[in-house]
Amino acid sequence: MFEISPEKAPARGILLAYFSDALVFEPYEIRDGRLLFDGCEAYPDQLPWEIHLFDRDTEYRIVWREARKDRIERVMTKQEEESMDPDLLYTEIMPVKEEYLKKGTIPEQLSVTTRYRWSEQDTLVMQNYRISF
Amino acid sequence: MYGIRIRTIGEVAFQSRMKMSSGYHCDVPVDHLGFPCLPLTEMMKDTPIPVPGVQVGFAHPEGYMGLVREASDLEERFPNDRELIRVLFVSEHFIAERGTYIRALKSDRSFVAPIRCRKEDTEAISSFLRTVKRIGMTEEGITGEVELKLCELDGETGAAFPLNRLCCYTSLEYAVHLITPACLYAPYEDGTSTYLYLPGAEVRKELKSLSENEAFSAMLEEMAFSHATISGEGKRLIPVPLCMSVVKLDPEQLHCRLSTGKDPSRIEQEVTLTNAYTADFRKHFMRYTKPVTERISTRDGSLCDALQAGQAFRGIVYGTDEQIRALAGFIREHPYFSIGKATDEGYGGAYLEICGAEEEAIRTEEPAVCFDVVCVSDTLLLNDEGMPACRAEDLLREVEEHLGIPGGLEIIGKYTDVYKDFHYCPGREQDGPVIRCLKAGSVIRVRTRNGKPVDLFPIRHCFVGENTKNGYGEISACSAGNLYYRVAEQVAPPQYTMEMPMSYVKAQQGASLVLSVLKEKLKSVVQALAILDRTEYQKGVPLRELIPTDLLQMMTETYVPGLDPEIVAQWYREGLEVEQDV
Repeated sequence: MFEISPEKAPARGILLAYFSDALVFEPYEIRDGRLLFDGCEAYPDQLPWEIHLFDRDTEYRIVWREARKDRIERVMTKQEEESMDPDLLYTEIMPVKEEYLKKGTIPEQLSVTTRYRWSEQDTLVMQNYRISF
Repeated sequence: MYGIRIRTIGEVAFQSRMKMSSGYHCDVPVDHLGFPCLPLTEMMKDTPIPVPGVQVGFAHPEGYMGLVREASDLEERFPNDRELIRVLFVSEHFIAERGTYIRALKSDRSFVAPIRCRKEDTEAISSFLRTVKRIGMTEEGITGEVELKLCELDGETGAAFPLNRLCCYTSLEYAVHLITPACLYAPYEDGTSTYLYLPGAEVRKELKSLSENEAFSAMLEEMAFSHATISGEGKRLIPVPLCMSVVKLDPEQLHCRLSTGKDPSRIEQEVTLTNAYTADFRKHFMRYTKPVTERISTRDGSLCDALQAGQAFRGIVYGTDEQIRALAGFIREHPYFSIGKATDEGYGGAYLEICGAEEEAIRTEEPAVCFDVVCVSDTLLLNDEGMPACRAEDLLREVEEHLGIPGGLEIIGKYTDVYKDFHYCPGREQDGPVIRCLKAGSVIRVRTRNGKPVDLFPIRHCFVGENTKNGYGEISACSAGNLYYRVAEQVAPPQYTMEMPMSYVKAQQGASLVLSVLKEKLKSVVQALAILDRTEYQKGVPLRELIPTDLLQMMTETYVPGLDPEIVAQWYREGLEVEQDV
């Protein structure tokens, strides 16, 4: 079972988690500090590679890094982007596969906002990205 | 290990998706040596085995693994003679009404197809096979009559590498010998839709599927599987660094390029080596090879690339001594498995062989001020933001981390490429997260900032980054050397190199094959000679004046010494009297 910091995640939204042999893409809600899917807790037995909990404005991401045996937690908000250079932001709309739309509350499209920065070698590199709907 | 033995009582012809040549209404698929390679699942599509979860491989002539070694030797001496092997098993009939030919399996021939099933299902499968009396079409004199039997296939495989009980092993090298084409589906690869190696995760998955023991499966999950790359010179070959290129010196090599309008006065043109593997790229004379692929058609109608049968791929598994021994014992008992896509149709059939085992390497200092670091496999790195890192500087940082000298190195040369990894994951239908990683073959040349040597031992051969248990992040380091000119030769990957235990039966089968092929060769040569004399024979010149007895005897001694001269003379007579296709 994996642990998250529920106070960092949106109270209600969509979870996208990558495991070694599965992908979980489900609506969730946080109630009493617990992550619930359709009102119940259900966690796969294995650690995921990465999980994303997001809603319209905020994404909470955890990435497990094998090389350093650590986990990287990041919270990205739409508010941060309002103060960033718009030339370094790129938003792409992606349709969701039909097989996931059957779950009812999954939106038809997701938005991915990529944040770029200038590297020391004066090249444009991807710094981060935020998923939202 | 079980197999289905098929004996053709009458001739057998069947419709197959695999077409060997045009103009044939029915054809018999053969491998590149000329041996029939029968898709038994497709042949029995009207009467499939009614037991779920059964996987039937392609059927080959009995004693196939021994026969291919002899056939490979023959091919070296008589190239392009796969036809002579094919006619030993396949007959042709012309259908006047359709104006096409039919190829059929000759009667009284035996073939064996490996079958993966549970032991408790063998009785049901055996009973079912006894009821199958015909396969394929029954027209034009083809009866399709067969006899099917379930049999055990012990002793078919190569000799096992003996593990010494006094050693404490940390790695096991294995080889996967493909006997049918294998598609490791990679829809986004450049050029082909198959990986040109066997992903470590895929090998692990197939080994797990052979076992019903959960503890063994859990053990395999703990072990690290490198990618299995093409084998050559008795070794596991590694990707040629991307920085290396070949120079075309022969104007004939530019033939294709000239047709697109390139300047013909320029002879020297450089071509970067991609998808090339070699044993040691530091040699002055470097041999490299590229895995061979072919197109296959699966039941759902899709066309995809597959690694050609006959090639061997070597990989390494890392674990504790106990795990290594358990895995070695398991491979000895389960030498056959199928890997990749469409295994239920017979593709991806392979034999496993243990090639060696190593203890932990004794630490020996390898000081170097300037050295090269090469990515042997695709390397996934994550930066402190959790984002994919695929620049040379990111690899440098990992190397510094491994050597314990953060900030102590600088890049003085690099040649890297980026690969989009879709997180290949066997058994998972959905795509994984797309992560950009350093492509296999990426290389950086680094130097210590303070000019003092650093010990290369920790990074001589190790794994860095993410997903290392499935073969990603394999790197190798060596002292930098300056070799401006070197000679490179591309060689075909060796095929059918599996060491087979010899038995009297196998020796007899191999000798019988060689004799049959050489007799066919002699017959075709004698009848070609007879064609030259046909005009004179038809004018009425007697046979005894035409027949070149001394020449026929010399030819007999060359191909099949000791063959009855009457048989050779009879072939000559047939060549005189009948229109023969030679």
